[in-house]
Amino acid sequence: MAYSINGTQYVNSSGQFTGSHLFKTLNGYDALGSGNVDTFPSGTNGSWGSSHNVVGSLCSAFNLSYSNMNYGDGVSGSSLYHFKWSLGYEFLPCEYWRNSTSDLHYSYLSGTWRALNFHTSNSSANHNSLFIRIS
Amino acid sequence: MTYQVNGTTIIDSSRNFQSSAFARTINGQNIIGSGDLRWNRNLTWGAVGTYGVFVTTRGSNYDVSSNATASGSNLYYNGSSNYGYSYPMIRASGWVQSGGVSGTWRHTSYRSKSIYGSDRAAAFWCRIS
Repeated sequence: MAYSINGTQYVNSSGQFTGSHLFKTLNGYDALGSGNVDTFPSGTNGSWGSSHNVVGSLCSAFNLSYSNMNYGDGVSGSSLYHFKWSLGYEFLPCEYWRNSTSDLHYSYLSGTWRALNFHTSNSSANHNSLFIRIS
Repeated sequence: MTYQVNGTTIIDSSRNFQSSAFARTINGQNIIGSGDLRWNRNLTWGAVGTYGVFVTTRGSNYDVSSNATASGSNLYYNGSSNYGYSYPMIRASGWVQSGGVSGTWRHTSYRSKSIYGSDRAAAFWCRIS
């Protein structure tokens, strides 16, 4: 015998709560039911940012939207470029500066990214920074 | 006094719900009881979900695209045991040392590639399993 109120079942005959409407969902899963729900950030295999371009991903890039960037600043992924060199034959993610945009490669990143460096200075050259995708 | 359904206790005499009434677990823990259910990133070096900066000996001409994967045994850092240097963020021009990690890692930089035969470009990697 289950436990119901006005025809709505709250506890099934096995003694388990079934009223999913009682609780919020957890990462899109009903709080009630069986199985485990992991609440780690998005990304498969239990990792955070298991792709190079998902929320939570870390990425080094050159921000061409403006200079004098501070930590916490947000920037569109469409403004982030990666370093290339030797007419595009080399890709060096950790290279730290370049004085010509012709040495940069459009990254096709999406969403919004947040700068993780304290400050990136304003100068005639472009400087590599570390970003995390926040949306 | 307890509350039961079909002989199964739902609420005990101390007015606590029984864990059997909620089969779902959160982060491997039952949701009934005390304590916190939050997920914390593993702080151990090289654990699943952690990032590192490595060069790899895999890929044609060491050309590695975004989302490519590599075994931890194929990840290295730019360094020389003979000359005692470690330069993790720049290209490795020959000498590399084992990254000391295991499992499978995903290349999370857009692309890493050098045009020089023995050079390998440093990039970000995330352990996925």
